[in-house]
Amino acid sequence: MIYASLWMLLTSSARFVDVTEEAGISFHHRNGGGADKHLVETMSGGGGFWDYDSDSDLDVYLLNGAASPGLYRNEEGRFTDVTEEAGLKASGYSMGCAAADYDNDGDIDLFVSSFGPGHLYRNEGDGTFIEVTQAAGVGGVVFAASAAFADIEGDGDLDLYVTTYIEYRLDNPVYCGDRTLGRRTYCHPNNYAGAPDLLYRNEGDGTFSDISVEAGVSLKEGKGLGVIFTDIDEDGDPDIYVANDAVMNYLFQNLGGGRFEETALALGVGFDEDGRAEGSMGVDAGDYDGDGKLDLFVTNLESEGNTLYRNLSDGTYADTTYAAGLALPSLPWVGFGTGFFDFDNDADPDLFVANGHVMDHASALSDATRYAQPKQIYENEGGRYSDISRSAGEPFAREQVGRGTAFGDWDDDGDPDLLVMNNNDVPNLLRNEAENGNHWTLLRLVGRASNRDGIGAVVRVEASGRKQMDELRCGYSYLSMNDLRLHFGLGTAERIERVEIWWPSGLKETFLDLPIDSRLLIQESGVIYRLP
Amino acid sequence: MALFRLAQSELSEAKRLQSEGDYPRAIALLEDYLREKPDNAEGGALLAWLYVQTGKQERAISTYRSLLSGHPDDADLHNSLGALLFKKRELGEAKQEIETAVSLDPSLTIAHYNLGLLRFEQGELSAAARSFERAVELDPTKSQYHFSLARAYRASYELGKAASSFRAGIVLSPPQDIARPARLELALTLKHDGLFADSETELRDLLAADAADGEALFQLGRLYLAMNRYPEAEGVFRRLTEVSPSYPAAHFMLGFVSYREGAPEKALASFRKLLELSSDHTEGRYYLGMSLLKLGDRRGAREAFEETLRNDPEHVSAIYNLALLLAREGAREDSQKKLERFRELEERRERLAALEERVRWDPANANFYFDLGQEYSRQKRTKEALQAFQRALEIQPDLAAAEVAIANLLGSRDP
Repeated sequence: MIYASLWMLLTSSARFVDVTEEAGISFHHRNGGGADKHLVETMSGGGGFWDYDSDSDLDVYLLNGAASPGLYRNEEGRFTDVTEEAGLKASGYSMGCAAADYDNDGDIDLFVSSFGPGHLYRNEGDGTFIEVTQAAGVGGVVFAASAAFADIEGDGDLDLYVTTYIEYRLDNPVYCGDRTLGRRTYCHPNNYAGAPDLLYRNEGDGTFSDISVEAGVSLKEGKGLGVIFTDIDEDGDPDIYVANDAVMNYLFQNLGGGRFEETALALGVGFDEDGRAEGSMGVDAGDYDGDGKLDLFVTNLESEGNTLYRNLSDGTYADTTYAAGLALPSLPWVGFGTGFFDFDNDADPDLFVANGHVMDHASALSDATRYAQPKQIYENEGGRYSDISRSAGEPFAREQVGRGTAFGDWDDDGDPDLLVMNNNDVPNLLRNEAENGNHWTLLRLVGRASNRDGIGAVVRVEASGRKQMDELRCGYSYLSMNDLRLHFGLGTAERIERVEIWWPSGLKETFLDLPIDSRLLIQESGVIYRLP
Repeated sequence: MALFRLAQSELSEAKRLQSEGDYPRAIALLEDYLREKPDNAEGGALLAWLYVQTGKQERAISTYRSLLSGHPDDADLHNSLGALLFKKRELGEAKQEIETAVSLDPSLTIAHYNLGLLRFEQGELSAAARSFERAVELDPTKSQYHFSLARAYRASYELGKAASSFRAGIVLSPPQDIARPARLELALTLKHDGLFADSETELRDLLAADAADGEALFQLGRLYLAMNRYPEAEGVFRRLTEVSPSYPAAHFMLGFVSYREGAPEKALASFRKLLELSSDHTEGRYYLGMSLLKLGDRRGAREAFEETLRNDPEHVSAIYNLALLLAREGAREDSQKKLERFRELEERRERLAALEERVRWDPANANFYFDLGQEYSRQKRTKEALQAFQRALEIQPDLAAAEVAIANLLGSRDP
């Protein structure tokens, strides 16, 4: 045991430093919690990275509950609050966000999901936004959680999926707790009916149509929290995986023509390996075992453990959480934000999980748990993960009520950094200070026939004979928005031998012999630029 | 309480025979005497006691009944009759007798205790706790009263109070055969109350007194699992397999820990050992299948899941995994049927989980218990249904629907 820990200390290259304050982010999430214990209070805390001003660096957007969200512009590593001047100061209880160029005009727009109506903000290209929710028709009033954009029909514009959590009545909330002691608690989701998610089709003229019912994604039992678009069946169109809380997770396979079929059960990704529904929150896809197929990772409630579904290459999945070493370290915690990311650039996807209990009185329930919980980082060691959190720096020793998490190289030094949103607390902007000499590349895709952000493109990279793959997604983790550039760690490779891109339009392109440690902008149809 | 006196010499003789263990002659002597003087309560009571000792429950009951016709205000006799009827599972009449005893003599400790046991049995947990509380108040020196009170609190999820009562009973230094189980129960109560560290201390103390205490080892291993301390759990269960090599649960738990630690080969060895000891161990068979599946032996896994389902046709996890296996082997139709069955069972489980959750978070709501009882009834889980309806009635005594539901379950339309 001692030897194992010592080995970990000597070999772990993870080192993250919390620079939130020094970088100028003065945001504080307010959940507005009160005596009525509305469930939304404890579920909120989203945000993410995006380049809102098209200056090629990542800005930060943080959502709030009982206060306005905040937009922070990145100015060479220092952040300035530009919420008001950008026109994004808002009231209302916001949950998650997805930022993408829905109108294909060259700048990134923003959708915000809320406890209440959704909000769509169109980027005017001058650093300001205009709310176009009503005109666009995406203001459905629900208890929404995460959101994601992808082109479901291959028509070149981005459609929008919004997970809806539960049916919740603010005026008459269910009472949970002990009335005799006057001890009220947040209710388990089993106390509420599920609510159908929303799928909006982009009509290409600035408006969207709610096609949830006709598309087949409007299942009333769902208690959706996290969502990703991912091409699970590799047929060139995006499928939808939804992390549901306490009921079966959904996999909506895209049948084409805007129709979907729910197939999670048959494919083995609806339940844990014993056939039990889990309290799922966050989700991501990545090729953790390097077999060229995307696997799925879902964060769950304590005692369930997070779940890793391995793609068996026959169209089905197997829960390999225990074998991958991911179950035991996660059993004590309630996982929310998550993602695969190669923090040490050694050419395999590692994992991060933000933890935090749902019950603010968790420590009264058991001396083995508490509301604020530690973050975790897992290093990929050939398809088996090691929890290296203890040696990853001070932020991993600090306990907070973690919720959303975004991944992106905001300081442009070639390794992915982290933004962790915490409930009723300050966020953590974590700078990755891994210094191991490994190489990397960042790919910014620009679609032509495809949507302009290239969202949905599948990218395969080969360097030093090692093959990796990923897919460009807008919206994953939990309530979060991520860097739209794809990051690949390259280890000790001196050149990138090959990059293959399968664009959402169906076009397949191959690029040979590309430089390492570079930010590359790749336009659909063969144009490639090296960014400064 | 006025008792008729048996002639001193005959009473002494009967007692002498009783003390020598010569129950048949004592009985014969008393039966003769009571034929002459059927109203003699002391002799009757002694005779009834002797009947009980010799397994003649019915005769004891008739003796008490006959005595009570002459002494209707004798609380002891009502209590004794009630206790016998309780043993015979004639709960309605038993309760009536014991309640009469309590009302005739509110200081009759044993009657409060018996009433507590009876109410506990009937799922009237708060009322049971009140009876035990009264017994403890009247005689705080009896560890058994404290322990029963603790159990009533624990069943009502009043875990803090339960732990205090267990502790109060334990400090009275009852004999080891009573104290040890109570200490184990205390440890479990503390665990359920989330006080893992305190629970660990209790279990470690028990093991300090007897390092080979299998039950304490078992519970300590399970506690470590709950605390996610898998390496320690593995050590404890390994020790348990050494202490009790023929104890199936020890091998199961050791296999389970290995499985969860991502070591299916080790798990497989434990599950195989378990199944040698207990071939119909359903969970062991299921996890044997899961271990084989992890090791790539699909055929072995399939056989194990099929065997699991022969033992328990509603084993949801086995159905689920068998369905996925069949799909991977191309048997899509069979897989589909299994998946449909799985969904049916899963939905049932989800419904129940939702209802149990409501009760957990609002335990004073009679309607929630009633709904839970209805679902248990639908799932043919009669005992749990009865308990839920009883609880609903306890909270809201005028809830007629619960009365009717109980009557229906007991096979009568008239409550």
